[in-house]
Amino acid sequence: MARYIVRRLLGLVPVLLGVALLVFAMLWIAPGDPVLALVGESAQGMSREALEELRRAYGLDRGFVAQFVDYVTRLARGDLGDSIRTGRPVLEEVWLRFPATLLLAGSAMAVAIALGMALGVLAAIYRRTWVDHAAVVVALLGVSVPVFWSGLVLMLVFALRLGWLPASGYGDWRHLVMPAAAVGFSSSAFIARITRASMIETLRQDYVRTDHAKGLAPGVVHRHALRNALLPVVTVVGLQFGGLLGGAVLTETVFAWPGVGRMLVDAIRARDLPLVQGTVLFIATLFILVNLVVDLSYAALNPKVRYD
Amino acid sequence: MKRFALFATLIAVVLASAPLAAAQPRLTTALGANPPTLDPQKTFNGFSFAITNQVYETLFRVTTDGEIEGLLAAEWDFVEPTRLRVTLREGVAFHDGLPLDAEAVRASLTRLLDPDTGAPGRFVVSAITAVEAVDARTLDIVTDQPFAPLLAHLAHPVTAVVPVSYGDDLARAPVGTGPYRFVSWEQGNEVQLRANAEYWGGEPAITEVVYRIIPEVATQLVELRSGGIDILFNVPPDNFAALEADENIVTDSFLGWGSVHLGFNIANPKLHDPKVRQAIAHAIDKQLIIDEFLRGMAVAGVAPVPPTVRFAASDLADPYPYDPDAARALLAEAGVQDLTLRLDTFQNPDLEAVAQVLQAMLADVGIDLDIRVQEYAAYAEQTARDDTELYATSWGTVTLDADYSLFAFFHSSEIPTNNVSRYQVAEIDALLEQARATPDDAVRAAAYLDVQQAVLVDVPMLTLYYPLSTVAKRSVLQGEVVRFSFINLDLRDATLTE
Repeated sequence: MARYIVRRLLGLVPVLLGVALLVFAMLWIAPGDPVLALVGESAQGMSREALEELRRAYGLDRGFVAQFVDYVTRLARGDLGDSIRTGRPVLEEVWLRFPATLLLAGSAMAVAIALGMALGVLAAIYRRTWVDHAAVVVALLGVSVPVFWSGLVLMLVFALRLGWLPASGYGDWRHLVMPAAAVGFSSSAFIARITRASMIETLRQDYVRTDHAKGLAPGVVHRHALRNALLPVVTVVGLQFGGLLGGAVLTETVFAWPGVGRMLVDAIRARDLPLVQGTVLFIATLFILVNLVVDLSYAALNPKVRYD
Repeated sequence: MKRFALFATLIAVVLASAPLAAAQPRLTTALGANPPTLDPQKTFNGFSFAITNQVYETLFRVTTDGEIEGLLAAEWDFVEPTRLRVTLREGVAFHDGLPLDAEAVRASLTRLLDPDTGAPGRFVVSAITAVEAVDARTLDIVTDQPFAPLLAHLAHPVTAVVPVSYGDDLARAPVGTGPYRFVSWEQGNEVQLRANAEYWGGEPAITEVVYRIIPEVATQLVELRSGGIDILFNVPPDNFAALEADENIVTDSFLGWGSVHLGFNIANPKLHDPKVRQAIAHAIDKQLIIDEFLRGMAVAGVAPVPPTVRFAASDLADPYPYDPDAARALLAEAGVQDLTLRLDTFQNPDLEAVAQVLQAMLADVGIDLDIRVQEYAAYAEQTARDDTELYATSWGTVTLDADYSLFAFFHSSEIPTNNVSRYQVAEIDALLEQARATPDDAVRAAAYLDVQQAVLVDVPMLTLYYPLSTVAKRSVLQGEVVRFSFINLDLRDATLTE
C-alpha cells in the first residue's frame, strides 16, 4: 500500500509539468498584451515608452521558451513567483483565499452528499413510485438551475424579504448558509443520480434477496446494500469535491465570497501569469490528492480491492 | 452567607465587565473588485484609489465646481514659468505621528518619478524634472517646459504623498495623512478604516468605514436595500428607477468626467474620406441611445470632453444631427456602396449595448457593421494595429483639464496608443503644445476651442454621450460629498443619523 501511494505521488511531477506548460501556452496564445492587461483600462493616457518600461520591469519582453524555462527552474526550487499585480508571493495569495474556498467546498459537499444520497436511496428503494419520480425531478432541477440564479433568488428571499440572513460576504456561519445551499443543491444532482443507479444495481444482487429471505428488517438490508453501492458514489463525490476546491466562481461572485475561484478569474483577466500558473498548479495538486484519497478509500469499502 | 457573597461578587464582576456599547458610527460601502494594492504609486486601478483617497492626500484637489484648491498645499506660486513653489499646510502629520514636511513630499514625488518604481501612473507627472525642498515647509516643483495643467495633475490620486520609508509595506498597510487610517484588509473580502483622531481638518464624525468587496452588481443592490451597505456607486440605469422608488434610499445622478466615443482610424483607406465619417455621424441617433438604452442617464455628446472639464467647448452645436437621408447622400457623394466595417470595443455592458445599436443604425444607411468585443488587453493590442477601422471606447478626463484628453486623442505623438484615430495635423499639434505650455487661461481656452472645432469638422472621432455618475445611499447618511466619481468620496463632514 505504501509503495502504491509513493508511486502515485511521484506521478504528480509529470502531470504538474504538463499542466504548467499547458497554462503557459494558453496565456501566451491568448490575445492581449500582459502589460496592457496589468494596467487595465487606465493604460489610456500612457505613452508607448511608459508601457515598454513596464514591460521590461516585469520581464515580459522575453521569448516564450526563456520565460517558461525560467519559471520551471524556479518551480523546482519551490518558488512559485510573485503576483505581478500585487507583488506578493503567489503561494501567499492562494493561501490567504484557500480557507474560504475550503469552507465553502466542504459545506457544499456536506449538503450535496446529504441531499443527494437521501434522494438517490429513496428513489432506488421506492423505484418507479411517485417518490422515485419526485426525487429525479428534484435532481434534474439541481443540475439545470444555474447557481447564480438560485443564489440570487435565495438572497432575495432570505436576505431582502425575510431579513434572516446577510445577503453576502464572509463572516460567521450565517454567511455560509446560502452559498453552501446553492452550490450543494447544484452538486447534489449528480450524486443523487449515481446513488440511485448504483443502489438499484446493488439491490438486484443475490445476496440482497438472501438477506430479505433470512428475514432481516428492510432497513438493515438497505444499509448493507448502501455500503456496497457506495463505490461509484465515492468516486463522484471525490471528483465534485476536487472541482469545488478549484473555487465555485459563480457562487463566489454572487455572494462576494473571497475564494480562490474569483481570484483566479481576476488573475486571468489581468494576465497575471505567475498567479494564474501558481493557482492552477495548486488546484491540480489538490485534485490529484483528492482522487488518490478516493482511490485508497476503495480498499476500505471493498476488501477485495488491493493495492501494492 | 458565604454563598450569597460569592454570588453577589459574581454578579458584580459580570456587570462590571459588560461592554459599554458606545454607538460607533460605521459606514459600509462596496467595491466591485479586490484592489490589487493600496500603494497609490503602484497602481492605476480605481478600486485602489477609492481607498487610498481616504488614507492619503494630494497637494491639490479639484472641487465640484472644477476649480483647484489646496489640500496639503497652503500656498503656491509659479516663481518662474517652470518652477512651482508650494508651501505646505502646518500641523499635518502622518498616521504614525511623523510630521509632513517638504522633504517627505519631495521623497514621495521622487519615488513616483523613479523609473525603478515602475509606477503605472508615472506619466501623470512625467512633465516634472525635479523636486527640491527649499525649507522645512516649502518645496519647488520644476518642469523642463511650462506645463499649464500641473496643478490639476498634482491633484491626481497617484500623486498622493506617501511616507517612502515604509517601502513595499505600503502596498498592504497604507500610512498617510488623510482623514481615515488603515486598520485591516482581508483579501477579497473587505478593507477596514478608522477615523484619524489627529486629522488636521478635524476628526471625522463617522468612526469606521468598511469597504466590502462585492463583485456582482445584483448583490450590491440587495445589500443596499437590506441595509448591508450604506452607499453605492455606478448603479446600472436599469436598476436606478427601482432605487429611486425605495423610500429608505436617496439617489443622485450627476455629470462626472466620463465620455463615450466612436472613433475612426482615418489612416484606413475605407475611412479616409471625411464624407464617410460625416455620413456615419449623421446616421447615429444619440438621443435614442440615451433614452432607450441608458434610461436617460446620459447627456448627448458634442465636444470630446464633458462640460465638467475646464476648457470644454460645451456650447458648440452638433454639426451632425441625426439624419439618415443626409447620411445616405454623403455616402453616395463619396462613391461608397456596400460598405462593411468592423467595430472594435472592449468588455463593458454599456459599450456592448451601444455597439449593437450602432450596428442597427448603420445598417439603416447601408453600412454593414461587424462587432468585435474583447477583453481590454486584447482590444488595446488591436487598436495599436493599422488595420483597425472603427473603435468604441469609454474614457475619463480624470484631471478635469481638457489637456489630458485632447492631447491624448489628437496629438500625433500619441499615435497609436491613445490617438487610435491616427489623427495627424500639424496645426492641431501646435495648438495642443501651445495650450499646454502657457499659464494664460485665455490663451488656453482659445486654443482648445480651435482644436475642438477642428475635430468636429474632421471627425477623427465622435463623442456619443457623457454618462451620468450615480450614487444611491440610505437616507441615514448625510453630508458626504462625491466629486465626479466614486473614488472621490469625501466623508470629512459626513454623519450617520441612526
